[in-house]
Amino acid sequence: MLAYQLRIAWKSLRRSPAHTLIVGGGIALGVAVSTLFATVRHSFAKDPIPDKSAVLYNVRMDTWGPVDPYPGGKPPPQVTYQDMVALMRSDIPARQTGTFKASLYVFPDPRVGRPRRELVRLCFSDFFPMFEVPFRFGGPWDRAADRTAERVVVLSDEMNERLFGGEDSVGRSVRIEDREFRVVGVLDRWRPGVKFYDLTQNPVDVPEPIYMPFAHMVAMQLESSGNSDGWRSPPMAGFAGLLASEQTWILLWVELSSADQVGRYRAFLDAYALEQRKAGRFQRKLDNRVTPVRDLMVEADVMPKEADAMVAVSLLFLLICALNLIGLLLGKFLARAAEIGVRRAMGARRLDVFMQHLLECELIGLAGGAIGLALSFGAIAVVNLWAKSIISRGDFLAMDWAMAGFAAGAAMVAGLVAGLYPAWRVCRIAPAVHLKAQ
Amino acid sequence: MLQMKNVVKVYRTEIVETHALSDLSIHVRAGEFVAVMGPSGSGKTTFLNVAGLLDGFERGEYLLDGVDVRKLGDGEKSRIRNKKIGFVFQSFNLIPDLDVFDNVDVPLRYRRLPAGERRDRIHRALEQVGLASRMRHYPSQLSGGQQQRVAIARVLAGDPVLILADEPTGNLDSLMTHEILDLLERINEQGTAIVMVTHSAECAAHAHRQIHLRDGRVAELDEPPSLVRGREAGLVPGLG
Repeated sequence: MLAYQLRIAWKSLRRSPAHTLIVGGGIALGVAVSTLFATVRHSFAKDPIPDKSAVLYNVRMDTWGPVDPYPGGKPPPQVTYQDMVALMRSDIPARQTGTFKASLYVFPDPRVGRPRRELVRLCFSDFFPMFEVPFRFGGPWDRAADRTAERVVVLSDEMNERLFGGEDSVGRSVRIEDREFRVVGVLDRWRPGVKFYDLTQNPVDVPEPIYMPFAHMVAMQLESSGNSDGWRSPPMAGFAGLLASEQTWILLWVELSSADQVGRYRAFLDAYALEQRKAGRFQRKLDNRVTPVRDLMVEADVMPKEADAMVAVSLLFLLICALNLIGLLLGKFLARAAEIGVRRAMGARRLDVFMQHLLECELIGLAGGAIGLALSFGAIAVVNLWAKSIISRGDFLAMDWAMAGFAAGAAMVAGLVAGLYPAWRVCRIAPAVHLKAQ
Repeated sequence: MLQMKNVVKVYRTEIVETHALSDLSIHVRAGEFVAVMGPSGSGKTTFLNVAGLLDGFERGEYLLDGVDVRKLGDGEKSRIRNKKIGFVFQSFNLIPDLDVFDNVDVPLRYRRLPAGERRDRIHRALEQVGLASRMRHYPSQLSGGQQQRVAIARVLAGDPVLILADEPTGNLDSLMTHEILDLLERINEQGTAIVMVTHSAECAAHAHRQIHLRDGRVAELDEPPSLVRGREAGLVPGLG
């Protein structure tokens, strides 16, 4: 019966192509607008690392001074060097990394390009498996390299393209500042939607182009090019003072695979803080936080506040489009009263008539949805192009199956809203009146 | 087969109340061919609509094939229309978008018959009305008589126990009229009861019995005129 009703609906749509185009176009417009804004929201809200977001935890400690709290009343988003070193001695996490970014001069082969500053992420070797960073060539350095400050680097695909023309550059050498580094790995294209491992600045920025062992921070006396917060002067001048200071500039991440591990790690943090309190630090009420990726994204207000409002307004627009189509559909269906009368006389139930017309609305809704989806692809491309000039990234908004499903669902709901009343009206038509009149 | 007793049907508007059927009592037996006659506004079509469960009524009793239709819901009435009743209309009422095959298929679809059985029934019905070769024609490509034969094939495919025909020859010329009446007679001979509303005495002469309506009630009830007598008088052509 469904196939038969679909066939009738299809015939009806073909019978009046202009009408079909207007109704379908109305739904397409509404679906395109709402899908675009839903995609904006979705791109901010979706899980950037779905397989592991539940086991990756950001670590924060309230090391702030006793007089005023850290702005916002929460612990600072990063930890001090001394705390990172102490906390990374724990064997509770399966993996862990402290990380920050520095801005360093990279000297390519003179035939390729001039020296220029590049962002370099300093991290531990666990960074790569923890965050599921994909490799095209080679792989991460090993843990021994973390300890010995081995001169090794991992390049992003783009940096490898720029420095080595995209070849397998593993084993090749690249000069950063005043020393030579050996390439051990080249990343495959890695574009997590939100840069979840570092939300301290632009959360939709692209990952850094170069990665090197954290230990080079001390060896090269590197300072962060990102955020750095402190509440008191360093105890001594120079780089040694920075390392011993209350300055927070390092993100600390741990991988904890069970609730038990999380509990033990929290206890470890508190014990460490209490221990430190004896030495005069951690004078505020204990506030140590171990926060999973998605909670951290919420806490960091990654999603613009306007995103929800934009989706709501766009859905309202779709609703208005659908409501405007009610009259058009009603007119079309009522003009078919005689045929409906014949079908009723031949044994069609009201429900059959209702379903047939609703199906026609859903069919046109889906067709409009498909066109709307295609339009939203175009709109997303335009917005990405515009965004590229602001965030140097033209792929942040991305259509995925969830958004295609949203478009289909929105189209079907629009078809339902537009078609429910007309379908109900025509199924109530008294057949006798129209049989004689035909 | 069709038993109405004191049926009252009233059409109401804000300013006027029209008694279309007033205590109408009619009994049509299984296999009977009855002509319903009467002047315009006498309630013929209303009677047919009520009889065909296309319209309700205010008071009275109506048993169709032994079933009291008053208590039936839309689904049950639709099922009875689909299985037991066949309609033939003056203006044929074929669906213009559907070809002959699909038009005949309409009641079978709502009976949810399997495709093979539907195909067999459609072929048989179209052969019976002599239009098997026009299966893929659209109504607009057929003459009035052919369209009415398709409408009758649509009825035949459903194999009903009762055919309700509303002026089935009203839009046809005399040659076509004879053709359609012959067809209805042949169907009736196979046991299907027919109630035919007509203005034409010539058409009514084909029936076993005539019922005259006036002001929504039976005016007089004639004895069944003899078909043979009709033929002898040259009023009715032979069945050929």
